[in-house]
Formats: sequence, structure tokens, C-alpha cells
Amino acid sequence: MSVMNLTKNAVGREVPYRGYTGIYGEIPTGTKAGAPLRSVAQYPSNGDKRAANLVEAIRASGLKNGGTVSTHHHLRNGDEVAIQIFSACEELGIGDLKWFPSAVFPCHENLIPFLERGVIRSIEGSLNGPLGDYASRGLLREWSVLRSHGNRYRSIQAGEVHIDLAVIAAPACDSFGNMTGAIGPSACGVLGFAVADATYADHVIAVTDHLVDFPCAPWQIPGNDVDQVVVVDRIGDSSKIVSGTTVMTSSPERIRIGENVAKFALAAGILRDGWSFQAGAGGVSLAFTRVASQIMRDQGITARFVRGGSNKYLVEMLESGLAKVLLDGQTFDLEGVRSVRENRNHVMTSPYTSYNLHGKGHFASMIDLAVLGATEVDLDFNANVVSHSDGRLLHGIGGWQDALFSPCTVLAVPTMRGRVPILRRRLTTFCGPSELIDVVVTERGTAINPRRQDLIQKVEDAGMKLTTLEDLLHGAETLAGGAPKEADQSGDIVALITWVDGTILDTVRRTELPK
Amino acid sequence: MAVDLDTIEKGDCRVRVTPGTGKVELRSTIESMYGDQIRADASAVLAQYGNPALDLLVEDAGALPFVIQGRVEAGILRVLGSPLAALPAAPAALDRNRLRRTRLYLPGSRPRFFVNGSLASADMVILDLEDSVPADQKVDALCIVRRTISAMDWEGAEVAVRLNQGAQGLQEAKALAKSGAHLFLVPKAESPAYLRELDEILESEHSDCGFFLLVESALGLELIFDLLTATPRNWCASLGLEDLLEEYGATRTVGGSESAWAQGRLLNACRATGTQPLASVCPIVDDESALESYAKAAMAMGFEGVGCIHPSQVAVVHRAMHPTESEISWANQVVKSVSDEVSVAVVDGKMVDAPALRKAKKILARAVIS
Repeated sequence: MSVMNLTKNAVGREVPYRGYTGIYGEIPTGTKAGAPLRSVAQYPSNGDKRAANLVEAIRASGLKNGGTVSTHHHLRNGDEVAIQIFSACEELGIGDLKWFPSAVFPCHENLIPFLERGVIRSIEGSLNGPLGDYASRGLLREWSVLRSHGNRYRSIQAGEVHIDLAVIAAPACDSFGNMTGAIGPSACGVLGFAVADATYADHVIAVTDHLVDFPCAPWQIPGNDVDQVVVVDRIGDSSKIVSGTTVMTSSPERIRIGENVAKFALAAGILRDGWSFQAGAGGVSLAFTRVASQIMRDQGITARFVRGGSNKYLVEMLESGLAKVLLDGQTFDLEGVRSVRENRNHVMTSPYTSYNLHGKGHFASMIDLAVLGATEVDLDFNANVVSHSDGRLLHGIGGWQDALFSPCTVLAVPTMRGRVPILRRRLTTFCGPSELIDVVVTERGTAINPRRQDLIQKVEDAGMKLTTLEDLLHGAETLAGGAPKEADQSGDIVALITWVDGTILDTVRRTELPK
Repeated sequence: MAVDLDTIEKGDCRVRVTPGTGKVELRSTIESMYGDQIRADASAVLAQYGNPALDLLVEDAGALPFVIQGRVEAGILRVLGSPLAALPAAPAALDRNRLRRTRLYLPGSRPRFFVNGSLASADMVILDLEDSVPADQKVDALCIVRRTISAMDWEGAEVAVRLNQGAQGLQEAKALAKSGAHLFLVPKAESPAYLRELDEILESEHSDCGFFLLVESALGLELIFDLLTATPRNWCASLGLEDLLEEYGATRTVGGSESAWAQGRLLNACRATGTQPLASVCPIVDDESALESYAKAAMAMGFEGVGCIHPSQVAVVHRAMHPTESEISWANQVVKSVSDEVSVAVVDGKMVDAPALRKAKKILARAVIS
């Protein structure tokens, strides 16, 4: 990681190349990248693509040293496939690989030895937990590149990332390779994060612990994109893939924030008959979903559609008729899995349909209200979602940047996390521009971006009191005893933060982690 | 994280005090962001005690400044045994007759929950030094609570402190007289003489804080009139039903017939002495309609508030105590018709005068949206 020339991008952050220029960036020219052409002559005519085991499958794939291997994260913290992949690679003497996961979880700490032994040379994908710390300490040999779900799809589609081998963990699969996440002992619901991999990779291996007779229908990923199928004992720990049940938060702070979001949505005229919203599965989102549902029941109104992170509360909305359709990008609990299996109005989506910037539209821009989190917000309504205020990598970007394209984006955040104010004068890491962030709702009050005079007028006319980010910051800093010392960002670059079009928004630097 | 910090609750800290030279050693989960400030805050407390020959080890998991300073102070006191250093007096807007529909306890030993104590929107927040605080934490709790009250925005809630009994309670009252607290809960109230002692202490500190008497024993209830007339500071009173019923040998039932007499006795004495009667803490958390019934029944008897053990109860009780549309319209009419000049009027075909005016004002006070 040598010293190099950095230039300022359109939001004033210094980046090594391809700096961010604006929300939509440039209109792309050219065509999509493509997977290699194949012939049915190259595959078993009886449709049985099973390999003896993962080692044989990877050998047959032709994966070489230095190649790129991709995986999806629908098995979340219960994933047991990533370690099987790299163990097999090591057995075959293949190393120096780039791992291209759609996200990583604490369970992937078990891959650190493969990093140390050089089987994995670099990771491109969201970093957090132990791997995030590993990266923050500067131990990865190459910069990591953090992308949103939408940008990951777009970068594969554009050929910016070339996948040599995609290994897709499939909760249910037939011997032809048709797969779904909706059934099986390791069911995860939706498999959307693997769609780009299946479509564009040179070679695709499906790994399943639940082989079903052909056809595995309905499938989310067709076997026509799959080269080989491997059956293993276990692809994951089902108790960590989806939770048994999602528990409503009892935290007064999260409940208050959720209530305040609903109050805002009502006052702004967004919560009305036929509306749509997207909220995650965190405590604030659940509290918001509960309050919004009650308001809708009281007023006899329904939502045209809702988008998740599906969980039991969104499923209840769907089944009770409060929402007509549930668009699902990622399934979080057993109720979500059951519903996606049984209900035709619970629709499996992927980053292609929901989030891809370089396509013929995306769902994110059509959702009336998006309720998101943040790690930091500055006084201009820009925000951070990947790092702590001490510079440590905390989260991946996920779908956060993509969801910002909603006509009304709300960041629902507490004013402080512990002692540390969320509001600050300068973001540690720049992840989202203020043009797309409309409202900040906290437990102490709601502030609307001055760019949105239309929203301000509406809610004030409805009698709702607003505050300002300056006042919220002042309150938080008074309690905290002042602003926190800014992170030392003089260290080497360890990761690049991209925008949804692939340009570079900011860099993450090496930090000293607390002992 | 170091093993030490894993044993500390997020939002709290631990302080070890040893003989030394005024060194402050810090291990904090937020060292890079607030390390310098924490060291400065700890040194400032040492300075308040005349820079004694002590070293500090502060192990911090993101505690707010008043928690750190409180625990440092408690650590110093445990070694020096000296009285609490004086802190600047904090203002408090005292209001004897304010709304007290709900009250919520915050254990003094769990300061991480203080900062969101106002979010449930209870009318009163009670920082507890008594039953919820283990004996070995009581000094810490006092030191932290003393510094907390004026450091936080309580969003209009009344801030009360439940004192310990006996001599400890008297010391605590002295220390907290000008802390910004509005009133003190006096637990197991049984002795009019004790109340007079408490009163004198507050007088000597030039404090106008009120008392909230908790009558938790048969003897206390026998002496209720003497207790309530012992000092002019008795703003409100409640029965501690758990202790009282245990003493009776009775079992608590939903209908509450076993405590009906005791409640009536308290209510009567309160009304005879101009003290606000508040109903006991309600243990019903998961059943909204049962809780609403409890609150409505208490209100029907004449009580003006209910004790809560969980934030989720607050909104339910407020809803239950919210007057109906017709009550509000009646009250508005009375307030318009009855005054100093016109002392008797007819509203809805019935005669109304001064008592109705008082009732009407109370109804309108409860018609707040929170």
C-alpha cells in the first residue's frame, strides 16, 4: 500500500481514482458483460450435474491461482459453505484467491487462517466483525472494496468484477441445478444475492444439503445457469440462518424513535391509503412497523406494497390484508420463510430488480418511504453507515445506499450511541449524500432537510413540531461532555467506499484498535 | 476488548481507588474519542476533594460524564470517609400540585438507563437509592444521582429520589437538597418525628422540595394523619401494598378487596390534609385492558396516579386517565361559568360551584396529550 496521489471528489473526500461525481453519475454506454457461451453437448443430457464432492467440482471448474470466487450471504451467521470452499481450494493447491462475498458475518472469522496462509489474498465485499477488525488493522494485503447490494450487481453486470467461480449455497436444489431458498433444513427464504453470480460467473457450482427430485420448483435460480451440483451434509446452522421468531423491541428509545417516524409519516401525508414503505429488521424498524400497522388498522387503510427484510411483522401485515404485496430481498425469520413458500403475494426479489442503478429503473425509487439507520449524520444531512466514530469498520453498506433513492428517506437513529453523539460536524466516513437524505428522526425530535421545503410545510401545517440537527447535536454533546475526538485518518488506506455507480466516495484508514 | 471491560455493563464504568499520587489510569472502549476528557473529569473530582494521595484506575464502557464522576467520588469517599464535597446548587421548578398520573422507577445502581428515563413520558421519574440498590452500591448510587439530575433534560418530568430509611436517608436528603430534585420519596413512613427531622434538614439547606410519603406498614397507616400533618412538605402519598399486605398476611388479588380499607383510609387522610393521593404500583404489564381497568378503578376512588414498573405501562395509564369528550366539554363549561364573581351556576341541568370548579380544572389538566 504505497503512498499515492489522492484527488478530491465531488463531496470533498480524497480518493485514489474514479471519484464520485454525483448521485446518478455518468450514463453508461456499451453492453452488459456476459457469461461464456456453452452447449448442451458439454453437460449430461440426463440433467444430472452432480459432482462427487466439492474438491472434485472445484478441480473440474478450472479455477486457478489468483482467481475470483464469489458467495452470497443469505445463510448469514449460520454459513458453513465458505469455509468448505476455501478448504477445498487449499487441498487442491489453489491460492492467492480474491473472495467476493455479498457480505460477511462473525462466523467468517474462521477464514482468517486462510488469509494468513495465502489461500485468500483479498476480500471485496462488506466487512464487519472480526474480518472488519482484521481489515481495520491493515492486515489484508489489498484494499477491500465495499459495495452496496445494488453496486455489487452493477459491477458484475459491467464486467468490473469478473467472477471465475460462483459457489451458491442452495437450501434446496435438484441435480440439474434449479435452486430455491424456500425449503430445506437450511432454508433461508430468498436467494436474491446470488442472482448476479449465477448470471455472469464463468462457472457456477450449487452446494446443497437438500437434494430434491427434478424439478425443484418453483426455483429462484434456474439450473440453466449452473455447471455442477454438490451435495454435502450441511450447508449451515439453521438456528443462525433465520431466527426462530423475531421479537418486538422493548427498548423505550427504539420504541420512541419508531413512534416518531410514524408521526412524521402521518403528518407528511405519506402514510395514507395505498402507500408503500421499506423498513429493516432492527428494533426501530419493528417498532415503526407496529405503530404504522395500528394507525392503518384504526384508519381502515392499506399499503399497496411493503419491502423487507421480511420478518413476522411484515408477514402479519400481508396476511391480514394491511399490505397487498411483500417484496422480499432477504428473509430474516421462520415466518418469512413460510410465507415466501406459501404466499404468491410474497415475492422474491434480487438486487437486479430492487437496486441496480444501471438498469431500466429500480424498485428503490418507487417506494414512498424508506426507514434506514446510520452510524453518523453531519449537519448537512450527509451520512455514514460503515464505520464507528473511531474509524473502525462496523457494517457493510448493504442495501442502504440503494434504498436512499426512495422519494422520502428517513434516517431513524438515536441521538447517541452510548456516550458518542451520532450527529457530528464532519463524517468519519462518507457513505450517503444529503441530496438523498430527507429526514432525520431521533428519540428527541425530528429534523427535515432544508432541501425539502415541501415536507417541512406539510408537517408544520399538520401541527407537528420540528427541531434542527444543530439543536439535536447540541443536546447530545452537552450530555457527552463535548464532541468526540476525530478519528486519526492519517494511516494507510485499508478499504474503498464506493457509490452505487462504482465511483469512489471515501476511503477507510488503518486504525489502532482498543486492546 | 480486554477481559476487564467485558465485565462492565455498556454505558457504565468501574473505579478502583488505591493510595498513590493522583495518577489516573484509564481503560476505555472509547479511548480514542473521549479518553482525554475522561481523565480530566476524574482528575477534577480528585481536585474537588483537595487532591488526596490516591491513584485511580477507571475501567470505562462508554459511561456518561456524571456516571464516571459519581463513581470516582464514591471511590474516594470509601477510602477517605469524608462528607460529600459541595456542588453548585441546581435550580428546580417546584410544583406541589402538578400532574402525577404515572411514576416510573429507575434503580440508582443502573445509571446506563438514566439517559432514556424520560422517554416513556411518565409524569414522575424516581431515581431510587433504596430497595432496588444493593447495600454495597448505595454510596455510588447517591454520588451518581446527585450529579445526574441537573445534567439531564428530563423533558418536563418531575424528578424524585427515593431515600433510604433512617440516618442514611437524612444524610442523603442533605446531599440532594439542592441537586435539582423536586421531591423525595420517604419509604416505610412511620415516624412523624423523623419527618420533622427531614424537614429541618431541607430547611437548613434552603430547599423547598416536597415529600412523597410511602406508607408500607400497619403502624404507618395507623399514624397516617399525624404523618401527613407532621410537615407542610407532604405533597403526595401512596401505600406500599407489597410490604403492607405481607404484614397483613393477606394475598393480593385483582379485585383488591384485601386492600380496600387501607386504600380508603389513606385516601381519606390525604383529602383531609390537602395531600395528593396516589395509587400503588401496578404489577400488570402484559394485559393492557386489565391495566386500564386498574387505572380507571383507582381514579374512580379518587386517586390521581398509578405507580408503574415498566415503561410500556405509562401510555396505557395515560390513555385510561384521559377524560372523555363529554367530561372535557362539561369541564370547559364549568370553567367558563364559575368564577370569583359568579360562584354558583347551572351546567347540564345541575348546580355547580367551587368544588365543581376544582374538579373541572383537574379534568382539563388530565386532558394532555403525551
